[in-house]
Amino acid sequence: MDQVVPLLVAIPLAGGFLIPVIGRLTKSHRATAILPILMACGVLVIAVLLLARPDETVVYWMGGWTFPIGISLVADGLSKLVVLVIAVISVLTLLFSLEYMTHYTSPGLYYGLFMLMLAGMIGVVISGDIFNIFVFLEIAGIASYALVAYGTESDELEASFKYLVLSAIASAFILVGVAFVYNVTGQLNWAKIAEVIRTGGGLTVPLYVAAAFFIMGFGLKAAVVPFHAWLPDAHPSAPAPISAMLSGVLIKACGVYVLCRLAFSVLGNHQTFGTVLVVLGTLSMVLGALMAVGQGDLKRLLAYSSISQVGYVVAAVGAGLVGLALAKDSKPLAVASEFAVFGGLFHLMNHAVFKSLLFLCSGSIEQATGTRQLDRLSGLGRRMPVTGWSLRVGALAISGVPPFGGFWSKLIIIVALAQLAALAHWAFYIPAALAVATAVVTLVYYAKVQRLVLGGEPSDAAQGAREVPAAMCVASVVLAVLCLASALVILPSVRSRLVDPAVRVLSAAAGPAAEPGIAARSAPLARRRWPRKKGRLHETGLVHRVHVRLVAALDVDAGRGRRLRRRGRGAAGGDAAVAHLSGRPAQGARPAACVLVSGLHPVLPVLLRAGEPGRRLPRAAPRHAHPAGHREGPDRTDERDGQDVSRELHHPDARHPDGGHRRAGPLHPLDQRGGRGGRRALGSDREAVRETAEEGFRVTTFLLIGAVVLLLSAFLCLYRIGRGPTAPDRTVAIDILGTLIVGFCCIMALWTGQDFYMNIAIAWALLSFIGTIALAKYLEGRYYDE
Amino acid sequence: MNEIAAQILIGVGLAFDLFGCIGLVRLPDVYNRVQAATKCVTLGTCLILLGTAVYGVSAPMGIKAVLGAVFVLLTSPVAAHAIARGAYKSGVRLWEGSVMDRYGEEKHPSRPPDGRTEPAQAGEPLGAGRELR
Amino acid sequence: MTLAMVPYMLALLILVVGLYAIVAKRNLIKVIVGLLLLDYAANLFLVLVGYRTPAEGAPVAPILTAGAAGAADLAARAVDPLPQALILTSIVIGLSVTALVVALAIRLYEKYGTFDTELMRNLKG
Repeated sequence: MDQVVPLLVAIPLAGGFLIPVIGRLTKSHRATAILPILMACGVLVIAVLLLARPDETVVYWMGGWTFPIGISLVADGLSKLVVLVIAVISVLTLLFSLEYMTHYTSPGLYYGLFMLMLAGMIGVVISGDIFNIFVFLEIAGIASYALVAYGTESDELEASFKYLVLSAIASAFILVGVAFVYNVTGQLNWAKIAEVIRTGGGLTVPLYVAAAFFIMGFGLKAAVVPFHAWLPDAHPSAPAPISAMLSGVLIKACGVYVLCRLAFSVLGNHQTFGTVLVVLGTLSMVLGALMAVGQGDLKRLLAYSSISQVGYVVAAVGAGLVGLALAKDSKPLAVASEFAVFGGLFHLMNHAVFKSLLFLCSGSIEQATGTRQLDRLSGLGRRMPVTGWSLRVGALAISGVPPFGGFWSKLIIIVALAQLAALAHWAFYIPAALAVATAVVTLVYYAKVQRLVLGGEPSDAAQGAREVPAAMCVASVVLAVLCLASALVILPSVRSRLVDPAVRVLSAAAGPAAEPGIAARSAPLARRRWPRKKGRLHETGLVHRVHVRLVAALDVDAGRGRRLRRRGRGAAGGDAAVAHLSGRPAQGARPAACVLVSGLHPVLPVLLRAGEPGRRLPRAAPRHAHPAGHREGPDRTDERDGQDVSRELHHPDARHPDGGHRRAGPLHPLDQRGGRGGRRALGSDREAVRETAEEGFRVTTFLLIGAVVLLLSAFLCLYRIGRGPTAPDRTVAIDILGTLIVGFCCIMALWTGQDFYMNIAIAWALLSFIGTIALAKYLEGRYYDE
Repeated sequence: MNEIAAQILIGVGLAFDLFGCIGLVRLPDVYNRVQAATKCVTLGTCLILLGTAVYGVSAPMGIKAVLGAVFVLLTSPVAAHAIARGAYKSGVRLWEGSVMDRYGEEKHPSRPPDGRTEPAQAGEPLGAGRELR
Repeated sequence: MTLAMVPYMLALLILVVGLYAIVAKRNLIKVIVGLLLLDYAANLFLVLVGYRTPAEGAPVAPILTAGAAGAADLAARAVDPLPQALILTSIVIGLSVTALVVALAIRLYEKYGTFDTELMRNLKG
């Protein structure tokens, strides 16, 4: 079996060299197309053969040179899935280009480049060596730059240039990342790198830098949002079958697949990486959809939609990564994370199918009518029935309408995100909600496409439209059937052969926690961590337990996690709580949610006592009756990390939990007096009462001054209301006055400590806004000549 | 620490509010006033709201403050835009020291920048004109 | 430690210069030069990674001299040859990309008559 694997790359590569030669020998388009189609079918056959034993990882060492100097090709569950997807899409796209490319010249070059791109993509997916991935990435990339420019119109050349430059920057970054990884580990083989990283103690700073470079590089290849700028130009400019390949498989094979590999298998499951992926994925989801709504060019709309759907995949995979990182011994969380990964991979498959279908349909439309502009297309539904129905199917599938596969994959992603939100971190509700909203927006713009393109009377451009030749129809129809058939993947029998092995590969690699890290090496950096705002929460019972769990689950950054892991090393195992919390030190990108949570941390305990209104400052809670009085000294702050550790390690009992309120284990972040805000806001020290009294006074003076300033500003506004020579002047002044009142309500809220004023502020802001808009519209409608 | 940060934020916010209102009074023209006052006061209010959130008296207050800040940030520029548009459409002239009127150039390529229109034809409104709608 | 970092920092500096050229320059050819600098910087960085100082003596290039002593000497004192092999591949890749991008630039010149990107703003990202 392992002898077959290199054929996956060798066949298209051979085609890449043979076909231009054949193209020179024969002038016929269709004749040159035969060999590529045969080769692609061969690749498909091999891919299906590999799937016969889905759980088996096939390794092929090139040239017989094995480790440590050999280069390997590895086909495990994930690779097999992606290769299958690539093979299917490429066969159908080649079938489509049989007829479509008759409008272009040099078929030999086209098919040769296509085969090179195919070889590159498959090479990326089955390569077992990190530099080899770079090489194949470049092969696929160069072929795709040339293919995007294939029509050599000015638009296409420009798009290709832009794509090339951006992609080359990404490749340079990837190379630098490879250099960092090689520097740290001395290995280039995926599996070996993973091993070295795990046994060598987790991620160090150079590996973080490498991860950042990889995210930038592969994120650009995958077109996640900050790095998406090339896609809306490149994909529309390419010939339609190439757009289908680019959007359907290239960005996934080169981008998403490698990110998955890196995140799960190589760099080790890492919360930060996962969180970055979730954030970027969510951004892509939302921004891609929003930008797609306003597009007038069909293919550009589809390109933006690609960005959005890839965002779904990346967000789901990232969420799974975070979940797996957090789920050391929590079975439901692990299951939910695997579910998220499954959703992501399923959506990857689905999107390949329906996006390529949509691009092929757009190609058919462009061939039949000569235009891609939505406002010049209408009434094609009757003229081009096959294409029309395929377009409908594709649009419904991508919008997530049951029973097509797209519905299931989106549903799974949303449900998995919600489950992770419930189990791991409430912040996952945000991507879940945004995913739902984006699905609605997707439906909106695809409904618009369908209505405009297919409904109504035939426009001028559509007058001469006839159904496209048979080959193109066949490709469209097959893909449409696949859209429907992909829903079958949720059946256990199909799923267990196709997608589950991939999920297993990823989560097994991510599974057992890596060694508690490089805590020692990163300690100096860790000292500058986000200050731990802790205070004492002396509520007993349920509230405390809930809070403890909430805090422990949420606090993903710094000192806490690191410290606990050090304790974990000291305490000889069996420390469930420590094990549960041993995440990675969160350096670098920090999820916004954690920032928010950490920032609100001082108020979290108060949140849990939220039923008590009208308190100005948290009352000093009674000193917690800690058994045996091992209270740390009052000056135990973040800066004293080293001392903390030694104290903890030397007095393991000192952190013994009191009663049954805390978890087993020497945790307690809450036991330590935290940083600045924590002490104030949760003041429970003896001095706190006095402090609060003083603070109250300071606060009141300040607030008094603030109120006076606001009143002064209000008077200025009133002056303008009185004096304003024109009605718009007065409107402005009224608007400003409204905003000032919002500020005034804040001052009042701080003064009295009641959040009732904030309700007023928000309601007033809303009313003021509506009123101002109403006034402005009124102004617009009349004229005057003051 | 939280408190100092809150005080700074609120203080700066108040300063912006004050300057915005001073601008409201002193600037010569509706368009100037809209721009200066709205921008300054929006920022000032957002800073005050954020200062309230940072101060952290209670979580509901903080969350509402953040929500309020987001809301103000989103809606206030929209309102200002609507006012400016309303003012232009209803014919308020630019200050005579104005040097350009891009919006007017787009709509009426021949109009001079200080907003002076052609002498009104009979029956035509003095303002920017119905035909713009 | 810091002195040994200097070559790496310089390589990354060249990377940044290349990035700057790509981002800030209007002339296509200058963008291409920036691209070249970027590639060279990445290659340089990769080669630098392979540097190692042997236990005694000065590091030598990984060239095998004849005889058994040559092999032992190589193993003991040579710098890491793997990154050098990698950048050979990478340089060739850079060559192909450069060839392609220059071809595109030529075609763009034929279409627009200029290399100035400001005048070529057909596409709105």
